[in-house]
Amino acid sequence: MNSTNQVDDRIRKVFDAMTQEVKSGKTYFPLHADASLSSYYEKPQHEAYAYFSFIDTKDREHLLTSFNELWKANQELKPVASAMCDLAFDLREIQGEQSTDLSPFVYTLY
Amino acid sequence: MSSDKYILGISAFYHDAAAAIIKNGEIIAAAQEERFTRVKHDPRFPVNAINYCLEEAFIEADDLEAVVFYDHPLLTWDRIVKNCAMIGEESYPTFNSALKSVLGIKLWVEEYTTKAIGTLGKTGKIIFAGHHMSHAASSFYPSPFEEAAILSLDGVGEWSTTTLGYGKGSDIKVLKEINYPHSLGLLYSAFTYYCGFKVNSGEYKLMGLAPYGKPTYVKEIYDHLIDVKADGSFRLNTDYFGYLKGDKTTNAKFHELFKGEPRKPESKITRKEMDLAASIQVVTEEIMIKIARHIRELTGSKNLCLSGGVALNCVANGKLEAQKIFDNIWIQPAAGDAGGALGAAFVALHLYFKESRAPRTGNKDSQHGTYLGPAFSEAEIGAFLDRHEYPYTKFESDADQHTLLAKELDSGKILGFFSGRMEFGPRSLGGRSIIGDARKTDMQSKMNLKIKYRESFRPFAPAVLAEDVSAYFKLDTESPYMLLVAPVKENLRTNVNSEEQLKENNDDMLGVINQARSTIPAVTHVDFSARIQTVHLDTNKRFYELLTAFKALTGSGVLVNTSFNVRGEPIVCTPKDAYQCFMRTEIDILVLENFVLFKPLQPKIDNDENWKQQYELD
Repeated sequence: MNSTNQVDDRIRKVFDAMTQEVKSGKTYFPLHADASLSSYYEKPQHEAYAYFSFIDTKDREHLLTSFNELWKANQELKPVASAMCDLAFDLREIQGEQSTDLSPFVYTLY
Repeated sequence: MSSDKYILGISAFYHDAAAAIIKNGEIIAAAQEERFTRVKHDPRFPVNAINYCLEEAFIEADDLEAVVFYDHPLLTWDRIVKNCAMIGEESYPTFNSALKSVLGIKLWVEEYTTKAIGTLGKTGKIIFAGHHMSHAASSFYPSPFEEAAILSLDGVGEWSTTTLGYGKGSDIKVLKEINYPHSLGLLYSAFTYYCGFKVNSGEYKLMGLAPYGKPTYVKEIYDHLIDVKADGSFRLNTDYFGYLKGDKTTNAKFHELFKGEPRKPESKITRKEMDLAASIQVVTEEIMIKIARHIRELTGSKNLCLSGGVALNCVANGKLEAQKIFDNIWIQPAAGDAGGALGAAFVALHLYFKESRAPRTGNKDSQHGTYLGPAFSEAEIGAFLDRHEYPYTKFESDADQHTLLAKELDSGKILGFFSGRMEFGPRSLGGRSIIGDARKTDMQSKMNLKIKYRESFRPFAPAVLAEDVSAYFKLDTESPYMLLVAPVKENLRTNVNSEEQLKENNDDMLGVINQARSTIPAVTHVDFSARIQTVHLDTNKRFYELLTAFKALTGSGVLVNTSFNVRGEPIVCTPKDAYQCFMRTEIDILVLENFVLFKPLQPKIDNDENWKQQYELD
């Protein structure tokens, strides 16, 4: 069984590896206005997931396949996918009760 | 073996967890988990709501064709990872929490479902519907339209914040979108936070505050915070927002722009907050109208379906309606994430199973007035009251009951009104409502101080007989879900100048709010607007007949309608919840279907002094 500290250490390692892989200055989305554009609408960016899809969580390998599919255009993220899968399976085992707390930022990230 | 196709939709883990069940495309039941657990906005996996839905459908879990979740957790994770990778070290605390939350909980929907009901349906696996597709489906499929433009606007779902689509028959296509971090919902939430209200629930207060202010900050917003193209598409200047780092919604640069730190919650509201509220409201309305014009042109449709949390901005909806860009607008009453459960079920039926949608006939939607939650029979209510020996009067004749209640309302009494199925969505619509006489000048302060236990700058909403709506309000369409705001007609208004009154009161709103601005003062806001609910015989007979009786007695077909709860409490679900709320407040009379309970006759509840601490203020 992993302790909370061990989990935090592993998350830290994943984060460090992820930020190493993603070269400094890489942008995944625009942060500001662009006067050269006539419109900010985009074509649907994630059509494979936009309507309905599945996630196979039967075992670690199947979940990894889902991650790799998700990041097939993001080679830089693939190296951390495996560790994320491990964490997902381990966290599933050690997660306690769901909290009733609502983050004030639930809209954004959680 | 039955060929009926039952599909269960679930939304959970963010806010307002909910479940919904459809049978061959007909909505059987839908409810938010908070109503059962009594925890406001409860985000936990909705075990109680799911079980209720199965009971209402009279099926076993094994009968389910499919279970559908309203969001794709891995796509949400993709956004979080990329966001944090871009931001770097500052985002680590967010990354840590989000990983535990998304990969530790949200990913395991199948496990939660199996634990709750022992099955994943006949498909044997959870179907994950897209977040905005769930919103879009929740507004299009129950709508009265054969085809429609579909607009979904919220904070963010997976990556998308704004989705433009088109629905026809059984099909929906996504046409265009705007993605995170550029979000009208997040922009509005940033102002909600800055003005001292809670994100995700205080947006309503900000909207209600807006009419007190002047839109003096509109230029600053356009100059610094958001760039809007002619087609309504937009980008935020993320330099002014804190949410990319997961720290705060706003940041120091935002505070510098508006010359000060965010208002402390519960502190005095000043002219600045009023003007900020007015300004962001104007910007929101202008953008929504531009997007609406664009999607009208894009799809050629005369019908619009709206959903997503931003679609709960009924003031903006009212402005959109008044523009007449579309001939018809239908808004999902559970427009926020709870409604995603319903939409997800429809996505599975029509897009995964490719089942046909029944042709639309007439102008009625299939939302059943959004009375989709639990109802309680006469026997159940009678047994509850008898068990506790609560004194009541039981009416055999509805007409006699309504005549009595109309008289009580006319004399200024306030009713807790519990009738039929509980509403699905954030508004009380006469299923679980507190009602009073809209003509009484003291009704608003009485309801606020003695029942809701709040001093609010927000007026209450009017419930009006559908056929009378144009007699009281400048509105020529139905508003059964309280999602449109329109002005009270000029001939009903008094000569009050709220702006001058505000000045005289040194911008103290509470000195202004209780002034009579019309012949229905309890429901008339400072700008003479009202958040209207039209009441219909076919969806809520008891409430309709009560309004009719009240009109016959008084000549007025308008009642105040506010949610049956106190501040911070979820709307009541059961007779027990209703009785408790009745006894803890100064509600005069409790109506539980055909049972009527009078406060002076009820036994005192012992050891209940600390109940207010049970609910966190919203």
